[in-house]
Amino acid sequence: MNDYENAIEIKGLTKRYDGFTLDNVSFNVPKGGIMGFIGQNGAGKTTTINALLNIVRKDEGEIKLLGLDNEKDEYEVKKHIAAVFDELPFDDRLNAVAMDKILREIFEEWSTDTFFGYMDRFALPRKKKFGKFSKGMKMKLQIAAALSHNAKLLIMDEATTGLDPVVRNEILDIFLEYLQNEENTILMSSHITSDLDKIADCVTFIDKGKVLVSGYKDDILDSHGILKCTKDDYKDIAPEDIISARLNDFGAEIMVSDRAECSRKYSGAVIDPATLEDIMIYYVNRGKKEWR
Amino acid sequence: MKGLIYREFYLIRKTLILTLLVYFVFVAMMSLVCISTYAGNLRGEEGVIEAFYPQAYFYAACIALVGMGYGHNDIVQKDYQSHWQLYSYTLPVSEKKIIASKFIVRGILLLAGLVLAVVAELILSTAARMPVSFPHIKNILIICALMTVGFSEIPLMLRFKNQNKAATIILLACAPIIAAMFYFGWKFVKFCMAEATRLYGEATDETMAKVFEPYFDKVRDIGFIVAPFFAAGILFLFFRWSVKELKRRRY
Repeated sequence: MNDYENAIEIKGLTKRYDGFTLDNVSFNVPKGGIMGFIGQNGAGKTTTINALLNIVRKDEGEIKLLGLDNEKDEYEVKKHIAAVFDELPFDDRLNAVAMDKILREIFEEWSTDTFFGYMDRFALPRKKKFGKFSKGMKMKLQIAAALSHNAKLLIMDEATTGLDPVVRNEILDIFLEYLQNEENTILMSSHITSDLDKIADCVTFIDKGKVLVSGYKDDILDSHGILKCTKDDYKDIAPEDIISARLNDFGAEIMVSDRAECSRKYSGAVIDPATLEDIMIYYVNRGKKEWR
Repeated sequence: MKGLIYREFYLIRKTLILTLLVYFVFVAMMSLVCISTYAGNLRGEEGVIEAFYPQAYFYAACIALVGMGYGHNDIVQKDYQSHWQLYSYTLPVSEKKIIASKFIVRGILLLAGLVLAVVAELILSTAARMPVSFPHIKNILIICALMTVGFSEIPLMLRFKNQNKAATIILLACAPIIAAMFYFGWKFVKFCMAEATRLYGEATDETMAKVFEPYFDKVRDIGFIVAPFFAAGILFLFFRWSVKELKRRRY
């Protein structure tokens, strides 16, 4: 593989559908990191991922995966990436032994030992048909398959959605283990922000087809905060400092994007740290400015 | 591509086994009927084997040729249902290879069906104590070539995702052809009846057959020459269409 700094580089990605536009999406995922891709349902996460995988033809923009163009070098790129979807894409009538035989002929670097190593580790039966697997087992199987061909980039679309916390934790541990190799990178779309709170290095928020925030998670969490004040004090907050404000009977909770500056500007105001979930909710409501 | 071919065979293996079972039972039963015409309860009855053998080989050929491809018909629909169709775009395999794997599997099944049909002819002719009929083998080869039309299921299923829809479209497309075939068939029977009456005084099964057979032989001879070109053309067109359809799916 060639040298690259960012495992994923997206510049000006645009895709127009009737009623929805993925509008000029740009962000990078640094090599060796895990990027959380957050947004509500219909925000454009899956469209972006499908465009990355060239399942969707983009209208405009440029996408580089592992330093290569995702269209021109499609098959070279796809040798080194793995995709994990929210649903198992393997026929219910297959079993792990058959799947190993299929995928080892497709991926040059497929490792049967690694695959069955993960199968054993996840306590997944080798000869049981996938149709008889539970949702958690199916997801573990998909991850086992994704990690068995020495993929440098793991792209996951809502992979942990619908899983119980125990399985989710187990899977997140596997991801952290995978990232021990500095060559490996993960892009993980999810609306379960607690998972990304745990493991993500970087975060990109998308809403209505537009990227709202993208950067290192710690920077985003450090810069954002929830300013709590009374209704009277709320009137004194400059509109440009407000992303959106949740009003209640007692006062207002305001999301600010420059916590340090706001602390200086509104001395005496309490500014609590924001979680990724808070940031997502306040950004989603930015159009309304005030909401309850 | 080997992996994709293996996958398709793995998924249709049960239907294949069932088809083989039906084929062997059918050929065995037909052979027993043939044997019974000289060593069983049908011994001494005239004309039985002459009437029975040409039908037995034809049905055995149909079971082999249609049955072998049957299990593969809904594979694209199942690919959509299992999300494999979506997943296949993430594999380092081109659309051409994905479609080629399906065509190769279908082709292998058709050839296997051809071999079974010819084997059935050999078994039945032996059981009937008759020489192997080369016209029968010619007919089998023509049926085999016509069966390549069944490959249309691949692009149609890719387009409509659903076997019922694809079947409806095929029936709609074939309705005028079938209607035309019935119309010309009826006209031809009328022609044969008139010819039989003119040449032999009356139109019986035997006199009709005398009129009919030279035409049938001619059509078969033409069909035998045309069949390979027809099959190659059909396969080329359906392959191109399937690749185009798979590319179109990258919406």
